[in-house]
Amino acid sequence: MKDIAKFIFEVGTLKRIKRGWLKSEGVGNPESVAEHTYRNVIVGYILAKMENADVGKVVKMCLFHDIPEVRIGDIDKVAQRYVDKSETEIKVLEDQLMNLPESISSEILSVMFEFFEKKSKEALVARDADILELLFQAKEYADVGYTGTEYWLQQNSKLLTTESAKRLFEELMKQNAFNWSKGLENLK
Amino acid sequence: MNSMSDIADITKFFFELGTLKRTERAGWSVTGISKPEVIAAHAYRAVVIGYMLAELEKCDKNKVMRMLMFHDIPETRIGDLHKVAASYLNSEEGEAKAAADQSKLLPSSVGNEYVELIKEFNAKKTKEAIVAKDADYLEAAVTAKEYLVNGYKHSEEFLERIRKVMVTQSAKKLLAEIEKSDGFWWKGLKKNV
Repeated sequence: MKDIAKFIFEVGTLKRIKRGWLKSEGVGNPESVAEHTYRNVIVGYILAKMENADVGKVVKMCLFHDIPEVRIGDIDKVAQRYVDKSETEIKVLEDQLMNLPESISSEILSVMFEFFEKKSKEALVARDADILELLFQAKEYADVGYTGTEYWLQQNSKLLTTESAKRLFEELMKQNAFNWSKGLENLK
Repeated sequence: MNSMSDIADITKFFFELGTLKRTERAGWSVTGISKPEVIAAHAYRAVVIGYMLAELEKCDKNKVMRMLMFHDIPETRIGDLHKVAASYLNSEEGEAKAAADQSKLLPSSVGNEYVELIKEFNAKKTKEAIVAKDADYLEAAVTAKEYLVNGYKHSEEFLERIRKVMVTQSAKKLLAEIEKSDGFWWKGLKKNV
């Protein structure tokens, strides 16, 4: 129990680690990793249904793959030019899970190995969900007025592989991020 | 399932979800925390805790995780009502209405599951609902402990209240460990200089 409690504290660090939008877009108070991961999980859930993939597995891939960032930080695309994190992430994860009950650590590790391999249908869907979440966030910043996000929208959308994710991307470019609440107001 | 209008509605739903990244958890402001966490940050760790707790309590993990993924989503429309507000407004009824509206944006299989799981969660009867509730409170307890060690002493009172609402044995044991710990998980991991 003590080690699980420790792990839960550790994971909470993601609520306080900021994603790279300050460097790339000048967003002064950008979202945290945990905020990104939360929507990533929901997007993964729905994308898995649309693509007829194993929903439970995709959700777990989305939920756990950012956890190594607690120890190494959010290494953004520019930093990745200089620092190679590909091998490191799985090592960090092994350290992080070391003292958890075997049933938990072995499931998370096997799901993560599959995710990092980028081969199975579930891994591709989870990866698309991760990229899509970023694209939704980029469009939200764009619609607030951060003009530089246009570049990241184009660059990252090229990485999408599933049909459903590509169609969602086309659609998100057509919509204004803040239109969803229009028509729902009670004006009485 | 995936006509163009469906895709447009799902897209709308994903934009709506983004609101949870910008909506602060209201209860902390009452205890004097001026820049508290947002709902999405809380929901993230609640799902992770739910996964662990469901494993410890031997119940349906996927269901527990989904309850925790979904049950905060109606707050995009009604906001996060803290316990003082909840004594004036019926937030549960409002959330159910909002969830029913939101589900129309989703493919029917997803929409039905969404509404049903929120209902099951709020009814607190099934094992999964009880475990998910405990996970949700436990997340708040860990956050309270983090605020406490950073000097927000009113969080102590909040922890006391949570102690009373925990139901499962595993959640009670975890809470006891959390209260004993200082929260500094990184001790011993730093590179020596």
